[in-house]
Amino acid sequence: MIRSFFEGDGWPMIVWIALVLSFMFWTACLIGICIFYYRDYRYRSHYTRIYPVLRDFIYEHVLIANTFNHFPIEKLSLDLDKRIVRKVVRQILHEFIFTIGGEKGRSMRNLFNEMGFDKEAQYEIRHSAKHVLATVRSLSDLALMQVNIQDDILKQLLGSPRVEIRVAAYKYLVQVEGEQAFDRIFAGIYGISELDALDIYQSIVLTDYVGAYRFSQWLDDSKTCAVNSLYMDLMVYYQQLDEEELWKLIMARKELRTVQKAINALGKLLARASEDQLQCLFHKEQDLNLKIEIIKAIGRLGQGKSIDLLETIFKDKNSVLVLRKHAYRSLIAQKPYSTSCLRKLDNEVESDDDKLIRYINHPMVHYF
Amino acid sequence: MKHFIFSIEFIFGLYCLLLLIVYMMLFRMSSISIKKNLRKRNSRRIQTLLESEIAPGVSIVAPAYNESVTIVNNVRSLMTLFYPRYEVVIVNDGSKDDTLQKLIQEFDLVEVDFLVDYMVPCKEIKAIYKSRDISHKRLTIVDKVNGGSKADAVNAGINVASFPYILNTDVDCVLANDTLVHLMEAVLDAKERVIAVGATLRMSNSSYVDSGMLVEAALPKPILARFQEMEYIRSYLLGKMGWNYLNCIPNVSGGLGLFDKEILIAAGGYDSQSLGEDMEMVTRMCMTMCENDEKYEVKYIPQTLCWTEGPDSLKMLTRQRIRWARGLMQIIRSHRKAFLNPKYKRFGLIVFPYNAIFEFLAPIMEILGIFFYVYLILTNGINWQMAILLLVFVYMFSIFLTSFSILLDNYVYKYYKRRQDIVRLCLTAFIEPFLYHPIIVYSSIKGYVQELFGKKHAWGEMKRKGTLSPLPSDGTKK
Repeated sequence: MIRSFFEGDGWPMIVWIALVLSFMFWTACLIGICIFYYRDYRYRSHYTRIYPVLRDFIYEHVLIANTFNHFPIEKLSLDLDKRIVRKVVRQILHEFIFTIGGEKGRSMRNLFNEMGFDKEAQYEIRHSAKHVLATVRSLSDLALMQVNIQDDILKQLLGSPRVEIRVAAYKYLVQVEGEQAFDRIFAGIYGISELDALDIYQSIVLTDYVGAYRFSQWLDDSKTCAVNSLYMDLMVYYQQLDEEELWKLIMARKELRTVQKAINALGKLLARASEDQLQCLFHKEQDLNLKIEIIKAIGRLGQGKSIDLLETIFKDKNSVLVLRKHAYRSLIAQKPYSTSCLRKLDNEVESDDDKLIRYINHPMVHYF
Repeated sequence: MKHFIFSIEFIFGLYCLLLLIVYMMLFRMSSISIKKNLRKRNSRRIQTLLESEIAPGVSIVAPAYNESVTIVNNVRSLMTLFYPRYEVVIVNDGSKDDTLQKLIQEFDLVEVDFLVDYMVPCKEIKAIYKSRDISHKRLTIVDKVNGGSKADAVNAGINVASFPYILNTDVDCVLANDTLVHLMEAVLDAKERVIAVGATLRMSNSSYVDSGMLVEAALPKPILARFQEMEYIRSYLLGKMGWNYLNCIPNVSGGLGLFDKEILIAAGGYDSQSLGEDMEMVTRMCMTMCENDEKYEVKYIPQTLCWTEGPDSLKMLTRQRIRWARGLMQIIRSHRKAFLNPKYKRFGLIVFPYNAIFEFLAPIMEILGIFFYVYLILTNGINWQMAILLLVFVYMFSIFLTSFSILLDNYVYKYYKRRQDIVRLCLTAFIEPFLYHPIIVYSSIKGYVQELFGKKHAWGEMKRKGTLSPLPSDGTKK
């Protein structure tokens, strides 16, 4: 039957169907393009109409009359039941909220809530499985307005399979609950990318938290590089040295990048007791990036204990140039202990090394 | 004889069917890929990376050869990108005009002592310049002996670059201010190590640029540039975003590509002998990762981040496409060991075979197909009804794919503010198969023939028309 189909009118029929489908898809594409342009046009026309009205309202009631709550929203005569109007109003309010701080900022947030956006956001987060973006946006709104969310909903969001929702929930907790939420956040953090880690880091450092919490307790070699990096970045930001935990990570050697980061943290946190161990590690180590990190860390420690090692590396012509560069940089960082060594090197060196030294010392060279 | 003709028909039919299936897959995969990308992008504030003091550093490497007309504005454009940690390395590849003098004068440059580690091969670096002005501390100018290729100049830039990521771009390209943020977001948001990231490129021929920054994107007026704009949109949004879904991107464009410097160096840097140096580089990077049994990703993002001046004369366009065709042929020949080799995983089993069968062979199949068609007409062996039906279908399908790419482009962002631009672009899709496509096929075949007979390639110079010059101070558009 199949054979007779293809020997008869089968092929032309298939091509006809394909042709009609292509035509239909093409028409759909054109309609799609038109819809995008129409939506854009509609948004812009609403924005142009609503912006002056809302701006004047904010100036009059928030900035001049100092109204804190119970805003006469009905005077705006905006149809907030319309989705497009709500979208535009929300956008405009966001713009103002980000530029107005202090007491007035709080009034702005009250205005936002009185317009019913907090309820809308609360509704959205209850339907998180369907609308990832809406949930993330709502969580960000609720964090901005400092609105509390019911614990069972929050638990559900923190356990969401979508990483975007989880990260938004972590950020919400940081912004609303601050330090109290750290245990809850760090105990459940998983599956995040480096960018998510950076996002959470930024959320924490932008709060007014001053840093008595021990982030190092969460370091664990079984966790991913992104998660451990987050803790180490926070340790560095809040200057919390915990050599023991950092060395555990280094010795576990699960991920090279984690080890690199841990050595970097040791240097930035001035782990002076670690210098000998770092020297030993340098001799054992084969990876160039790790070696560079060790030399940089030793330079930061600046105790003058490793001058011989740094001098040897710099003098070693077989060594990679970048390693020699960093060795010299670290020698400079060891001043005043390294002053005589640097003077000796300056006098001894050949023309090529001299070029290298002058390059490193050049005031216009900023990156290495 | 009848069996022979049937066999040929069968081969052509199978080839077309496979191509159709690939396009349908790309249609689906690109939609998913773009949707996913936009969801991620919209769920995060762009300021996160922008405000972060721990963002990884990026070195922008841009080679310049006889770019005197536009160099100052273009360097200024690169210096105004939004990103917390980056440097700009401009490589003056032995320009014969006053490119270097203009840079020295404009940016108050002085020669500094240097010692370069030639980690990747390049011609001798004569001097390195830095600016006395602290506001230009990010700028480094490398003056080197002309190496006869862009690859050699980029290698020099890589040797001088300080940061772990390299953004390779052309100095005449106009980049969006948030280029580095978008590209680095793609790097930091990946599960595996990202060795290269690319973004969409389009034509700047009729766009309005002020002080090296794009003010308004407009559809190119010259018809050849307009065809290329359409081709780029289709190739990036449908092709590369589709392959992005499978982590099977074959190429990151030389106009804009972010690379992991460590892998770039481990793979040996750009090959100055290759005519398709960008694709060849990505090929070698992927193969290096596979040989070391390391997982990796090559990513693409749908946002247009780079505007470049496309060739608007037939001569320049064919010369460019001949070079691309020869480059592709060189890659297929020199890396043939990867073909269907399981050692190279998805690169050897999907990317390379796709390139060989559907990119390299496509123009040859097309030409052979036309000859076969003519033969059938002459021998009266054609079923006219079916032939016309097939032609109409192929024509309609190609218009649909182009329109779909335009739709995706609008979904990502509405770059054209004027409605007539989008209407014109949609209409261009109707004439492209008759006017533009034959030029591309002809150039490819010519490139293959030249490569086969070992003809020496002349790079030639693309004359800059300075369409990227600033607007008059009163703000009136050109």
